[in-house]
Amino acid sequence: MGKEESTIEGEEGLLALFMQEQDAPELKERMQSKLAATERYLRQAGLGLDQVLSAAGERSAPGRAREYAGCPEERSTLLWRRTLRSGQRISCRGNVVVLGDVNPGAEVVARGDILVLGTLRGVAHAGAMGNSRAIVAAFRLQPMQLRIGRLISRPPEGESPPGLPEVARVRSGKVVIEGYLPRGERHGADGSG
Amino acid sequence: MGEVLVVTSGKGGVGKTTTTANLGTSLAMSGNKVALVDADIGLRNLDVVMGLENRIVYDLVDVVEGFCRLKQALIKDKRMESLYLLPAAQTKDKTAVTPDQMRGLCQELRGEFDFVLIDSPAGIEQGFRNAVAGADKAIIVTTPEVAAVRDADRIIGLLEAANMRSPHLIINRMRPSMVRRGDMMDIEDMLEILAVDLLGVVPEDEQIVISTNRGEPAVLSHSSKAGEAYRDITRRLQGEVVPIQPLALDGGIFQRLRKIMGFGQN
Ligand SMILES: Nc1ncnc2c1ncn2[C@@H]1O[C@H](COP(=O)(O)OP(=O)(O)OP(=O)(O)O)[C@@H](O)[C@H]1O
Ligand SMILES: [Mg+2]
Repeated sequence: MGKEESTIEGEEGLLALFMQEQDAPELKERMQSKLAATERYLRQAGLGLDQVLSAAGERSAPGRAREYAGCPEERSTLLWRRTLRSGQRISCRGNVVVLGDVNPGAEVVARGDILVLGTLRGVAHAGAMGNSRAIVAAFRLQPMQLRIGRLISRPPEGESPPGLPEVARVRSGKVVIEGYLPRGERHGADGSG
Repeated sequence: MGEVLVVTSGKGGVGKTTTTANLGTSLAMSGNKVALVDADIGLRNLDVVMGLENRIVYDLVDVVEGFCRLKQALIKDKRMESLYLLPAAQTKDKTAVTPDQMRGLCQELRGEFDFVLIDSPAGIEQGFRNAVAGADKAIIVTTPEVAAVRDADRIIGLLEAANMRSPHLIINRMRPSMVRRGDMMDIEDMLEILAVDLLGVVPEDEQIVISTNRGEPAVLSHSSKAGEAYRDITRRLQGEVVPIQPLALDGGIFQRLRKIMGFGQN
């Protein structure tokens, strides 16, 4: 295994990867040197180094590696290019798109929408700051738990998912799961079946 | 230059030590020079499973601390000329070694052996980080249980974050009858979540318990089903294409396995 270190990438978002083995001062020092290069991103993100560290620290259970990602802007989208595995968590001020699965034990948190181009088996929280108009969509929606805005829901037990893309959204104060039909809205609008 | 493989799992008791002992013995049987490293410091087991406990003089911690040379600490196997064991210390704990020291140790072993197999402790803390530090590749062991698969997934995530090449999976203690009754996760479910290459499936086998107690790895016995599975895995590790025993599972799974093992379905 290579040397464990924290990485920051500034592609579609700002991504910081924390490994537990580093104690905070050492981590901070390393981060700082890397951050110098991506200072512009940071300013856009409105995130100071201390904020990033405390956000990661708060969620750190002892002995667990942490992943933390924040988007530069609320309306931007973080693209996560692999499967999110058990124990991994991404959180973002904007939307999140996962190009892979979200496995059981993994967690995605977004202030905006969450879109999983794979199977969502873990926990997803869209509209994390209370936006109940956020949605969670996945090719296979089999979440451990879904949270939208302030609502928390579990999928009904014993029901097997249809094997088609689905969307979860809030309707009349409840999280409902609907089939995702690409042309569904248009059909609804012009009144034809 | 030899290859360093770490055998790891996250969850305890799934068969890491059993796997290390059997693959090591089997690799040596097919003519390789093999070193087994017990990185489970404080809870050493590999020496017992290999039946070499009473030959220990020095251990891994003595080597990294410079109390003895590597050659002095390596114990030659009773049966196999080309098989050696570097035992763990029993009276120290995981913090007695650092990842850097393990990298150095693996580097030295790699020069002498064709295969170096490291038996990792359970967990994701320092013991795990030490065990994987010097390895080129990981073999993840799991059992067909939800919790074991969850932990395997976590381990794979940690290895990926450290840029380790894609790990191989061994599913241990498979019981086809339970899968058929729907009482156990099937192979397809596990591969769908873990999305890694399957190296082999080892059945539940009483002989493992007997051979563990006797200090004779099951691969030495030709009547053991698990031993047979480990011999197949050994051949795959050396690049041979060996079909996975269907274990009387249904067709869909078998086809999926064929695909994974590079057979294609056309
Ligand atoms: N295929 C099998 N069939 C039957 N018993 C098995 C099989 N594999 C392992 N066992 C038994 O399971 C127990 C645990 O195995 P082992 O010690 O290899 O696990 P481990 O992962 O090394 O455990 P630890 O995390 O404590 O180091 C042992 O008693 C062993 O004999
Ligand atoms: Mg063990």
